[in-house]
This record gives sequence, C-alpha cells and structure tokens, in this order.
Amino acid sequence: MSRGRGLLGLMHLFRDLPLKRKLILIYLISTIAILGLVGTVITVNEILSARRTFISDSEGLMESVAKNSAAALLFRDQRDAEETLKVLKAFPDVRYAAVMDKVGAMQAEYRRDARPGRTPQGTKHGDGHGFSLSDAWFSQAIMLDNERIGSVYLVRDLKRLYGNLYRNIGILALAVVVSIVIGYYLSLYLQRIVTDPMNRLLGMMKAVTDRQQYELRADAAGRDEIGDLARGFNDMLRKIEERDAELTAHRQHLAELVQKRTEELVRVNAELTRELEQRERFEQALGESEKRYRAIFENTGNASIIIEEDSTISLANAEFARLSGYDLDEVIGKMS
Amino acid sequence: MKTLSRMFLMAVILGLALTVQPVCVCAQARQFGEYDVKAVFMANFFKFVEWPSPVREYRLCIYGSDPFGQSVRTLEGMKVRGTMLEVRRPSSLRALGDCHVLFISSSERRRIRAILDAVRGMDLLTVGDTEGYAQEGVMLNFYIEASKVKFEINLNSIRSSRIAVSSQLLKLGRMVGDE
Repeated sequence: MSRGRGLLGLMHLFRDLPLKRKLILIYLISTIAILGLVGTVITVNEILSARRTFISDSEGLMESVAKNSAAALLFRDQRDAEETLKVLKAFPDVRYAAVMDKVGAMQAEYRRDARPGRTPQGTKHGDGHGFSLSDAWFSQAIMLDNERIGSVYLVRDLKRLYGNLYRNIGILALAVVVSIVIGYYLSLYLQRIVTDPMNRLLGMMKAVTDRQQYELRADAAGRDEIGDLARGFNDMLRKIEERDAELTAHRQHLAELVQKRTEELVRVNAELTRELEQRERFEQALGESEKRYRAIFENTGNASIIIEEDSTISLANAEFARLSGYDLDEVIGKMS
Repeated sequence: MKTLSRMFLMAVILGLALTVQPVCVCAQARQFGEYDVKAVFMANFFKFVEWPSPVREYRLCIYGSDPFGQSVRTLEGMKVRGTMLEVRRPSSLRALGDCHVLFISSSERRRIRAILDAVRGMDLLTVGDTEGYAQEGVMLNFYIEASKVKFEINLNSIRSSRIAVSSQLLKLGRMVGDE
C-alpha cells in the first residue's frame, strides 16, 4: 500500500520533468540503490572477515607462544618464558602478553611500552576473546599432551585493524562514488538514444504547428515506440495534407466560379444601363414630338378632335371645348 | 632458600584457597621442597624426550641412595602423556636396561664413570644433581641458582645416545661440555 503510494508520489514528482531528467534520475536512483546495497554487503563482510582474520591471527600467535613456553612453564623458567614472549615484538599491535601457570599465577609478562604498568583488566577472563573500542584481549590454554599446564593472555591494539578497515571501506566508498559519477556522465550521454529521436519529433511537430508546414515528415527510422509515434504522426500529416490540397482545390474552383459570375453580372449590368439610356433618349424624343404635335393641334384655330377606331375620343383641343361647352377632361377618353 | 620458603608460604595460601580440608593443606605444603621440584621436573622430562623403541610404561629409576624420600611418591602411578609412570630403585647395574630416565644419586660420585660406561647404548636419559656430573657425561644435571632449581645439559652425551631431547627442553638448560 505504502509502496504503491510511494511510487505514485514518485511518478507525480517525475511528471513534469523533461524526459532527459527522468532518464538520468532513474539511472541515479537505481545505481545508488544497487551500489549502496552491494557496498553495505561488502563492508559488513569486510568487517566480519577482518575480525575473523584478526582472531585467527591472534590464536596463531598464542599457539606459537604456548608451544614455545610449555617447557619453560613446566620447569618454571621465567627468563625463558619472557624470551618467548619477546618474539611478540615483531607484532607491533601486541600491547601486552602474559603466560600463566595452571592455577593462574603469572609466570612471565610482556609489555610493548616497557614502562611497568598494571596488568590489563581481563587476565582473569576464561579462554576466549573480547573486543573493546581500542583493543582486544585473547586468552588460550597452554596444553601439553592433552593436559592444561597454563594459559597465555594477549592484548592487541585495534588501531591498525581499524586503520586497514577504514582504508578498505574508504576505497570502496570512493569506488562507489566514482562509479556513480562515471555512470552519471555515461547516462547523460546515452540518454540521447531516447531523447534525440523524441526531440527531433518534437521539433518537427513545432515547425508543423507554428508554420503550418504540413509537407514536413518525421524521421521514423527506429522500430521502437518513438518510431511508431513518428510513423503515426506522418500518417496524420499526410492526411491533413491531402485534405488541405482538396480544400485548396475546392476554394480555387469556387473563386473561379465567382469570377465568372461577376463578369457576367457586370456585362448584363452594362447592357441594362445602355438600354435604359436608349429608352430615356427615346422617351425624350417622344415627349418633344408630342409637345410639337400638341402645339400644332391647339393652335390650328379650329375645333378638332381625334376619334379612334373604337370611337373613343383620344384628344380634343381648347377650341373644341369652347365650341362644345364641355371640359376637356370630360371629353377625352369618352366614347363619341 | 628464602624464595623457596616464600614459595612454601604461597603454596600454603594456595592450598588454603583451593581446598577445604585443612589436613590437605599441610600435606601439600610439605611437598614443596627442593626434591619435590626435582621430582616434578623429572616427571616433566618424559614429556620432552623421545625414546627409539615404543614405550608401554615409563620407568623412572633412582640409582644409589634415594634423596627424594616422600617427594617421589606423588609420581608413582602418575600418567605422563597417557602412559603410566613407574618409579624403581634398582640395586644392580644390570637391572638398568628397563629404565627410561635414570637418576644417579650423589652417593655414586666415585663410581659415576663406571655407571655411565655400563648404561651406554641402553637408550636412557641420565639425570643427576651432583656438581661435576654433567662434565662426566650425565645428560641432565640439576643445580641450584638463586634458590631455583636449574639444570645443565651435556649435549654430547645426548647426541651419542639414540634418544631425542626436545629443543624446548634444551633451551632451558645451561650447556656443559665433556671434560
């Protein structure tokens, strides 16, 4: 449950990061997790094995002391036992050593720094060993022919052991850090395998949307998801382009049609205008001829009427009105 | 001798600490004399010496007048390297063939050469506690130094016999040559 939420949270955190960052972060998280685990295992193993080696070394030293001091112990030769212990000078971290007889009485002692001091705590421990922060004690029986004839006691400084341990762990930590850094730069370089095709695709898409360059095509070399995406994108572009071409063609056709119609309209209009002008001129001419006719008709001095074939009076002059006594309005248009 | 008496005292205290029965304390205290140490040392010699033929039972022989008295009694029936230790007091030189360690008493001071000639080739470790014995050819010879029991070693005698003495033992003794 919490793990799911953790992953979800991580995904949320990741969501707005660029792909490049995501890839590098994924690398870093996995690498640090793995190297951290491996480093911890190696470190623990290192500590345990260093301790084990230290203990077995000490046991070897004590075994050698025990073998060489057995006779001295049995024949109560303190000087010889001390000589035997002096061999420990070759081991700088042996701070104190002692040989005791079987009832625990001190037979011989060795101190690294020659000044006499108190016997270190722990000489009364039984067989075995114990570790403190600064040193470790070891105690082992001195056996001769299956008989316990005494015991040897050893105190070793842990400074060298810890020094070696710290050095090894330091080298390990350095190796881990260097690995992570090298891996980081490597991932920085290698993430392009994913991000470069993606960015090319993205750039092309921008060009398409910004400048309406629908003739552009994505580079779809890979068979991976990005390749699929590019191919899908290309299909889409092709369709858009086709539709665009169709639309353009249609628009062109429409424009031509409009043009043709417009031209026709203009022509008809001109014709109409001309006709209208003609008619005006005609009407004008008609008016003038009628005026002239009327002047002649009125000024003849005789009463005149014009009777049409259907016997309606179409025109009568003022002389006629005076003679007949009718108003002109009453006469014109009436049957005779 | 002061140290010895101090050891005596220590043993008393040790005995007190280790045992409940006061009778036993006295018995243990009595044991820690010069010859007690020498007796224990002789028993310890068996642990550092190899004999050429397999040993079924270790035999410690005391030749001449016995200076150990009660001290050697504690060794009787003791087990050394898993083998029983037997203490003998042979009276004739011919009976020495069975021995592994031969203590030659200082009472034999004048006959020492004859005894050593007799046991030559018998594969036994000769021990003494008389000044000059080592120079005569006794392999290990006790002496007292600073109130402590020590021993001298005649390496030539050991080398000319077929027994092998551990270097651990040899390094503890003072080397002495033949006269």
